[in-house]
Amino acid sequence: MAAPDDVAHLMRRAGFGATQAEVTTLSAMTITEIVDLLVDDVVTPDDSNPPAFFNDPNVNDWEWEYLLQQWWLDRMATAPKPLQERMTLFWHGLLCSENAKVGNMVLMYDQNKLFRDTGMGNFRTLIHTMSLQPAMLHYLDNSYNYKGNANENFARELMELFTLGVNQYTQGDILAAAKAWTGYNIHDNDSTQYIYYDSRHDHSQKTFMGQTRNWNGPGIIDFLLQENLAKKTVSAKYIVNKLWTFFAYPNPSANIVDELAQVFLDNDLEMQPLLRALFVRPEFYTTTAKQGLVRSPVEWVAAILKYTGLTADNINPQWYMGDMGQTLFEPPNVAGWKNNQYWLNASAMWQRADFTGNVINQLFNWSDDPNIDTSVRDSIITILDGGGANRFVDAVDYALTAFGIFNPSANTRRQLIAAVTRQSHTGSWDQRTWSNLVVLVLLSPEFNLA
Amino acid sequence: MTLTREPETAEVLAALSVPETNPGFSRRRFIQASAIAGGGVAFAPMLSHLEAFAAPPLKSTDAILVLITLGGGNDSLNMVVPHNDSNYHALRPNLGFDAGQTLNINSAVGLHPSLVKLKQRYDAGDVALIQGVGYNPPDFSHFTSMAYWMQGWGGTSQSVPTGWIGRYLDDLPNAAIESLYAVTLNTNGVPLHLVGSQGRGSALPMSVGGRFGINRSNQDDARLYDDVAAIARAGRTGLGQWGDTIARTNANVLRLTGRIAPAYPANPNNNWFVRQMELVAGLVNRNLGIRVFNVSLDGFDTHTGQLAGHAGLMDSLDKGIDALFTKLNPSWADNVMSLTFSEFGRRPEENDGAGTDHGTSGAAIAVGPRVKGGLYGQMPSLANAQLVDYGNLRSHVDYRSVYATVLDKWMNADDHEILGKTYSQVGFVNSHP
Repeated sequence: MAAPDDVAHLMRRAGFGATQAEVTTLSAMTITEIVDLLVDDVVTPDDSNPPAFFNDPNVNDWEWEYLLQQWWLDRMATAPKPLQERMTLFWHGLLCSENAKVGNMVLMYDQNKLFRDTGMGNFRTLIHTMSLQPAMLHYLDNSYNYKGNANENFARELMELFTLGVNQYTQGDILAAAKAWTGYNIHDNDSTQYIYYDSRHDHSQKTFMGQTRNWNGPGIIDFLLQENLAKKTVSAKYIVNKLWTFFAYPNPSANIVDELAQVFLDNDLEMQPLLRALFVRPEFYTTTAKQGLVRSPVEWVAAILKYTGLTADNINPQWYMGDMGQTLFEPPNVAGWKNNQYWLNASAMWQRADFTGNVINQLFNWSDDPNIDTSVRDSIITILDGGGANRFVDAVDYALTAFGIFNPSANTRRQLIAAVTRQSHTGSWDQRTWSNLVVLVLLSPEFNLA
Repeated sequence: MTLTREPETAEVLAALSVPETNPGFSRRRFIQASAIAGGGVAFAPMLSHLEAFAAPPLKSTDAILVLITLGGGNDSLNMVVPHNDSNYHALRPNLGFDAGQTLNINSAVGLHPSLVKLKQRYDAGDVALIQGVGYNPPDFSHFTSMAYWMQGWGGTSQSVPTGWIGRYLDDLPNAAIESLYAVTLNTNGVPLHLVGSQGRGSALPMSVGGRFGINRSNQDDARLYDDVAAIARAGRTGLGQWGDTIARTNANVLRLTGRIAPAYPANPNNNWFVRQMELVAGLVNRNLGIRVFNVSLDGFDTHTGQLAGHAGLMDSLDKGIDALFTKLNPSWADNVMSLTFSEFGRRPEENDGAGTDHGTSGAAIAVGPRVKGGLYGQMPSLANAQLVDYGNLRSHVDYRSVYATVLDKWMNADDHEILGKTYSQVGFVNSHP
């Protein structure tokens, strides 16, 4: 029997949140059993279909990007495989590409699908495949990496950002790796296709990390993530640190990193055993972890979609998320998004506040569009209009629970009750009392914590 | 940044209620505050930051920088024109301006015909034209080249995920919290040059009419805004440092809206760039503590039909700079300098489509009462033998030399630390305010 608060926390982090019914059901199991369910819940190839608009000749290129953003947000909210979707988002923020540079959403979708397909498989295999996909070849300029004119961009980031971290290589190593990656380009006549041009590959002997060989690109990955145990260990720790920061909190202690990295190494860089070990650690259920992360804009919007039943097409989050600080398929640079304070900029939070207006307009659906799920609205109205002696308290408790806040702080709950009560006393006994309550929940500290 | 080595440490740090990275409220200061205020101190950090938010007002000795991003790669050769160079006319039989058309500065150089007001300011000694600004080796990608300009980094580590203004912000007090030190208008999100490791600019909207927190005329709206702020004003959330920071930021948003809303003109100009510059003037005049503004004028990627398109852009640039300095309150004008930048200049030889392709170095324009007017840098030679990289201009002034000058002579900042290297300066700043 798992504690409901732990279950809710696990589902917020390993997925995109849980309803109270889901928490109740899952709490009949142990944490280990729930983690097994989440970690084993993977389909390969993934069960998403290419969005229908990809084959629609009436949809313009520029529309593809926001349609794909909507498609992915909806998929997170409904999350048929919650952890698989989470890991897709994790890899998107680590093995970054930006459509602003790639300029082709089909290639971006291919990369997204790779993350979904194999993001819970073997890390080394993922790096191999990702490196030769056109999205990455375009994004980090390996498309221009030729013999005699080596472009170091990809070779550097492969080590600095994707596998090892800083200070693990010399400039000479980067140059050797860049030469090893020469010839792994984009087809001269088809910018959507990877091709290896042997004539553009530098076949000379190169010295990489002290080893002089006729290195090639994939050989660099195999050296770092298989052959050389020291580098493989560095990489395991690097990825564990990133994962812990993504799922629990930044700056994990050395023993957490070391122990999880050992699990990762013992399983030859397979992700599933690592994730299983991560989510059962007691540190994952401490107050430090539960209060350790702010919801990113993507997580915040996905939670709104999940708890309201609205679709991204209903409320168009894509027009707001740039100023919130996170646009899917457009990370700010190759280093991806940061966390916590990064999201808590006044202008970024202002955009969240603005966006709640869109949510309210659709959720309260005053035109009674039959395609809109109005259950949250109807329940709030029923409670407040029912005239019960505790209706203000009941309405607040319902609204908090409906948005996945099962354990609110005394302060937030008190302020919300005061707000609803004050509004009724000043004669504003109308739709605004109901909708203001939902805005207060969406902007509450609880709903903005991950 | 080791918040969570052990729960006890985390609890202590969380009690400070502001991010650990915030140098403005160190543990020592918290302990001092506790000692003075006694038992009721628990809420003090939050309340003090509510009061401090939005950057402290500027003093008469503080400098303000207005960065003008010319997006797409500005054709500097037709902005600061070598009208007397036969190579120029040979390379640009259709796009070139002759001495009778340009606004002439001397027998060799003239300004684009549309830069009428700028020429007047040049004659008054308030305009510096810095020629041949770029970097080596050139990269002809908009994306990569703009990233260089925004990063402005010359340190030994190859690249950094921060921008030069962002690193300037990092050194200001309470960098992680004071989001009004720098603002950007007319951009989708906060551009790289305004992002530091702690400090980060804010993206302000171009209009605020219907936005959250602005209009309090409706009683239900006003109550909602007050209720959102009340969650922070009630004190600690009990949800740790990030829960407190979320609540505080929401309250700050509502304070911010109240402060910036009056700066928006009732009748904004129809020209989108002029509108930005008028808004900059309005924000400066209200002294909200903003030290750096980023505004943008896009459309410079003139591969075809350049003559008319570029003239329209030059006209907007001219009107915008004029609007800024005209609308500034005279007591603030001396504290303001504007500076243009673009990812690259364009190729000297015009193409078959009456346009120009991606090039290399270009000219930067600095304007302000404390600018030391004149010509700086060096006009790159247009002689065929002097062209590099497929017929492009040499760079004579590293773009970071321009930044070093601005940081050191104008902003009173540590240019070496911020740029990662010491660059020779260009003497276009007369004096710091």
